[in-house]
Amino acid sequence: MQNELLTPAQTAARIATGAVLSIAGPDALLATLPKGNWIGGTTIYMLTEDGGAEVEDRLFCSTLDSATTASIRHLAPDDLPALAGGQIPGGITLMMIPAFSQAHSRFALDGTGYPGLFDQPLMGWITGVPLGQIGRTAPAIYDGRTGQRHTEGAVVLHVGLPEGRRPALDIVNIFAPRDDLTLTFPETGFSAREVTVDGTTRPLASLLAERGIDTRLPLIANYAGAAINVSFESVDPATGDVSFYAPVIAGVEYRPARAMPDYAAAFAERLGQGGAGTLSCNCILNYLHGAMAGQRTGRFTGPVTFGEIAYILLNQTLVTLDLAA
Amino acid sequence: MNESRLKALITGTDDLSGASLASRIFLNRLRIEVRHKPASLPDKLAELAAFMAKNPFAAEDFARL
Repeated sequence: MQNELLTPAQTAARIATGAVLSIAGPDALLATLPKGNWIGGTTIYMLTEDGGAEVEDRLFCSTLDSATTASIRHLAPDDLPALAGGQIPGGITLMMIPAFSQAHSRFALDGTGYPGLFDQPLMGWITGVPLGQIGRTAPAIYDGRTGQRHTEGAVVLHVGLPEGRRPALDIVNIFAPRDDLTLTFPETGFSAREVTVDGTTRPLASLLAERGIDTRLPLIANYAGAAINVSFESVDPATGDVSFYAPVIAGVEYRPARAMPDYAAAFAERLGQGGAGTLSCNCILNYLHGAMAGQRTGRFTGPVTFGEIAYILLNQTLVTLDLAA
Repeated sequence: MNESRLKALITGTDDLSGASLASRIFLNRLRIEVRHKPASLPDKLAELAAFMAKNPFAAEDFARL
């Protein structure tokens, strides 16, 4: 697989070869691309080999040159449970969903129960907009087969691989949980007002203030050995509403993350020298809170996103998919 | 894998170190569902057995435990 920053003309030429592509970039550039075997999603934030950057004149193109076959679908929110129905045996599925869409929340809340979801690697990301455009411009996805732009639903690229490949989907979470506080929530959702600590239920917003919890850092749950983050979106002291970028799950234990002094160094240490030829994406919150603009994070390059998908919606996590495994 | 072993997986809290991400998240989902609704355990046992039967990687993951 090749990861490259290409001009729109170079990207169009690549599409014209019949290549299978996953493309990230500015909305205005994606809109110029010809029809072909590609899916696209909007972001201007990228992790490149030269470091994190805002890129407005090129597209981040991942060319899946080991693909033996591919099919592309756009799924409306009601059709998301049929996501796995298009899987190509032995292959992978890539998916993009616009931030703030119905599909975003429906997938986050219900995705783990979709039939066949875990039968093959499902990697993807939540598309975004320039931060100054939040609320004014809708994040978008593109179905390259039709050239259609969507602000709702999901675009899905099912990819067949040569026999014997065992593509490896994994996550890199640089955060470690504090051991002095365990939180559980009474209800599943993207927001909460109450939380249970040591058997006592109390207002979450006041607990966060009282315990000095840095809401730039995620809450971490242990999913049978996988550290899964949920990030804070906002805290409203007036109403007591606390919102999250992914749902908290009722009954699951969450621990606040320990302070992270140097995000880029932490990623570089965890990632080592691997990553070339790996499909990956990283979170806009890591990019922002870790001041990763201009910082190199090893050879794992890709879009900076409004949420990551590795079977489920993730926050503040690097997702990697190695097709050569 | 026999039913008592599957039951221990679902009702337990052990980490699946070395297992695939798919197996870890899938098992965690079954654990949450059983915790919320203990009567669903037979259905979740069947679901886990079917997942392992369908996916050799999962059978390998759980066999290693």
